[in-house]
Amino acid sequence: MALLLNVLLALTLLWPIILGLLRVYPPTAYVARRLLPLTLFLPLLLVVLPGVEAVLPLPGVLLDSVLARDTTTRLFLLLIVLLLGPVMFQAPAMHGSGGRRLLFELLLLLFITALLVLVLSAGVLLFFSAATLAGYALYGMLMCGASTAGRRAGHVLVVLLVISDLVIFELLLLLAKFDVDLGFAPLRQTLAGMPDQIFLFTLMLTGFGIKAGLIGLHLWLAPVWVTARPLLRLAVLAFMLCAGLLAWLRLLPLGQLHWPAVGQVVQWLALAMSGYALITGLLQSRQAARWAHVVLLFFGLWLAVLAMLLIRPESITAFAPIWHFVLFACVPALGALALIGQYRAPATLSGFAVVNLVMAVLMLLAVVPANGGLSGMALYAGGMAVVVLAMQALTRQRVMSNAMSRGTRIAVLILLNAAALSWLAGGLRLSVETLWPAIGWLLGAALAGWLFGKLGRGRAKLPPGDILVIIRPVLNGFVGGGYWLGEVVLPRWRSVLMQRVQQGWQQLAQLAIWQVLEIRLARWETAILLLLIVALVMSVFSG
Amino acid sequence: MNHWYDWVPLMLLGSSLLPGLVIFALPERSVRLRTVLNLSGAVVKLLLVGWILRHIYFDYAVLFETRLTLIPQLDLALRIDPLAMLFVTLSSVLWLLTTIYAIGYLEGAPHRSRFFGFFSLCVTATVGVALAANLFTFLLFYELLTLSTYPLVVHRGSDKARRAGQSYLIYTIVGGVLLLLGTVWLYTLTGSLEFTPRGFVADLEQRHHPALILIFILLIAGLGVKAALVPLHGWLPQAMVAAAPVSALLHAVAVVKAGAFGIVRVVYEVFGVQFAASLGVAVPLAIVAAITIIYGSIRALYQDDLKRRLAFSTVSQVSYIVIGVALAGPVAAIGGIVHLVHQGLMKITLFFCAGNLAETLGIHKISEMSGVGRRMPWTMAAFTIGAFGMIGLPPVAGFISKWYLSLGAIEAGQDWVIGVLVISSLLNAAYFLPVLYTAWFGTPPERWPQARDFGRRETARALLFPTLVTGASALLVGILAATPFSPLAWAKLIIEREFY
Repeated sequence: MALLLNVLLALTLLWPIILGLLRVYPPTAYVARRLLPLTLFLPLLLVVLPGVEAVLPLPGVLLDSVLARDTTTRLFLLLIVLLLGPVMFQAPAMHGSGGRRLLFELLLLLFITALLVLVLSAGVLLFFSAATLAGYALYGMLMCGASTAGRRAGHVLVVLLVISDLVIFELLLLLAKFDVDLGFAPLRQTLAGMPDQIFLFTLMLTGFGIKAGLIGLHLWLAPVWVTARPLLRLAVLAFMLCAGLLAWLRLLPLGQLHWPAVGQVVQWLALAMSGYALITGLLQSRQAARWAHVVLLFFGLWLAVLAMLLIRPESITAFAPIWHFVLFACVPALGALALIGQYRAPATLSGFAVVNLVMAVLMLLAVVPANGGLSGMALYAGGMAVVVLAMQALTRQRVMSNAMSRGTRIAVLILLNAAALSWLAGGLRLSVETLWPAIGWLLGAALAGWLFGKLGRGRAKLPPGDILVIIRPVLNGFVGGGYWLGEVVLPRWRSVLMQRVQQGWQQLAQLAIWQVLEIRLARWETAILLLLIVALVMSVFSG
Repeated sequence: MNHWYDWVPLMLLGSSLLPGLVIFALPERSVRLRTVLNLSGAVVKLLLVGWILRHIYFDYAVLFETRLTLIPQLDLALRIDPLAMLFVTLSSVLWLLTTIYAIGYLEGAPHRSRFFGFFSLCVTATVGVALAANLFTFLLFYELLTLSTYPLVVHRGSDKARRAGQSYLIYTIVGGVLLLLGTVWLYTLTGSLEFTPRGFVADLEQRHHPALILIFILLIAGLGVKAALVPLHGWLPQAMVAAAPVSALLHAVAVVKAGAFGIVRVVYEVFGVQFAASLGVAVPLAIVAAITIIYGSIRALYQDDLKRRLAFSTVSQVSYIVIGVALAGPVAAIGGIVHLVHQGLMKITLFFCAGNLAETLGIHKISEMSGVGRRMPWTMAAFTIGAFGMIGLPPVAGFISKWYLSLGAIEAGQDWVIGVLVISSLLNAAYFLPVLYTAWFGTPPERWPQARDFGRRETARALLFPTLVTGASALLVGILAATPFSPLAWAKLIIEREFY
């Protein structure tokens, strides 16, 4: 079984690459396009095959990386399959013209490969490489056939991706400075005891936080979500999960680290994220932007979970039975909402999706310990904010004109059923008594959301971004400054310098020294004289 | 020369020199013979290189050295060592690819015998620079390189080309004179010019140290012209008027690399890195390199001419090698030395792509590249890999260089260098990503004004094949950096065996 798993691990990554090569070769392009959906078959096999952890070292590849399969890997692989399945099945229909379709499909294959590497990597270096590739591939997919607004949103994303990569690069350097093994497992052992840990943690949080839409660094999410085609929103969600949330879970695994100093910071961040995303979400003028803020709140909720378990790792006994189910219920529900919003669909579908979301949140809040303190509050605040905004968005849902395709309808139903099954399975592990307090709070939140939806019509003013969208002016300033420096100041200095030299030269030329010198230089005796002078200078200096 | 393997360095030189000399004499119409000579020379050189690499890697106790006494105590000496072989391998592999590219690029153009003659001579000079066992031999081949590349720069014969050639000649000859002065002065002090691992000047008395600092400045200034250190870089952007294969030769195979390689030799094998640091010249060198890195990147930002942008990018990137050397630590040195190869692969890919665009669609400016990715996807895919590598994105080769350089900066306690590298990466992203965006996601024109028809192919095979090989190599040497035969492994071997 171990051998089979190792072969599967390798094949899972090789298959999209092989398919990509087949796709670019015209005689096999058709077959490759037909085989595109099968890309997710191998990851699915990796999920369902029984057996414990599998490890596949890749000697020589990216400074000796390792692939591994564990429980978290299986969960995230399944999420990838669920989210990207609809994209893979409908990719051939997404772009009409040949060149653009080829580009899109290749980028999609690259994106999937990168996501699979992200999930299977057992070290930070390989993870970082895959996150970078996934980011740029996602950007490329978003740009294929994007509107002007979509392109602007893409620019914000790409600027933040560059910053994110540089921050993570710094993090890796610092880790290497302390001579730490860059595998996730050894890193976890040493992380909490390392010097400069707050700085390390800040880099970790911000570097991966950009990809997970952490508050203050989330500026790309709403514009991208609004302008992306519905299917691509699933890709965005998968990217945030694998390149953002998974990184946090790998480096700060739930319940395995006791790092209260960091936990305190995270709980405040989670609180701030809930408050900020809720307010800006409620004020959004576009429906898709509201759902984008729900996604933002969902990631904030996980930040609160992280905070609680960093402060109280013993609470994992309560979270362990259900957190996989919560994640597996929320993500497909969010995916379904991303798809439904753009089409004419029965209101019950949206309602069912929101119910799934609320039930998943309910499970999470039910296991918050009574003495949870501020981190417990942050969790409750996060969960309630998700419900308030989801209810408001549901109340304000408008009926769209374009009909949902059969493929999209099937995808939505699969996602919703997966979500429902997940929270049902998770809920069976909880006793009814633990649910009651959370039910009360969430009912209140749902009512508040409904009221906001009904009363707030016509009051929402914010464009898809929010008040923190400062990327454009900053970028413009940067570009202007760079232009000023590169094309005005530096050349001017250069010109001034050259002019001075020229002036000096001209002054000397007026004395006709250089003409005389040129004539003299053409004579042997002058050359010998010059060589003698040079020799003299050298002999003086050399003693 | 008592043994047959004393001839091996000469065979390496001869494999490009002899075909070059024959090609000079060939009439223009002997296309097939010229092509055969060009390619066979390059293949023979590559086979020789492979054979020598095997010997060196497994540490066979054979010293490949040729020594001819020209003046008493001044030998024309060629020696094969790991550092030399790194450069020889790079130039040999890229020479073969550039030759194939040039054959396609210059198809039907006039004066091809002259071009390929000087082309071969240029590679001979580069191999000579790499194999030089002392500063005297180095200087000879360094000047030969100047003289053999000048006709290539002015090959097109236009006024612009002549002006660029003149500028190139002035800069490089002044550089050569400075190098000569430094060499002569050094010889008067030490009586030796032999490259020695860990240097040969450290034993000089304290009173000579001011003179040694001046010699260091003279040598670095002389080499810095070709390595395009600011403010000695002015010739490089101007030389962009030359044909694409020549640009590739200047930027990736021969000229700038010869300058950077010379700086490695001077710092490690003339002064010795520890002694250079104790003289207080290493940190100023690192500062000059840092200024060059930032300056080149800022200037590249606003160039609309693609080749000019790439030229300023070279100004910036070659100084990574210099900064790696100047940091005076083994890890940084690994980063610097491996960047010699990585930058070569990435930059030659970018110049091949620029040549493909110019030859196929008549595109010279970035503003003309809108949607070109759809018309020439393979070329632009290779360009994308090269550009990502320049930014330092994993898993392309440039990431490995930056990783080692940054680790080296930490090891040397020069954390400010990391800041320079980060700013450089940001600037690289700022000037490469818009090009990629324009090419892949811009709207293409209905028809390209100067498009040439290549049937179902996007461009000529001879232009596309080398581009794809170098692009794939730039990716593979990054992904497989930790394999035993990678450039990184070779750089580590150099550092372990020679310098530390």
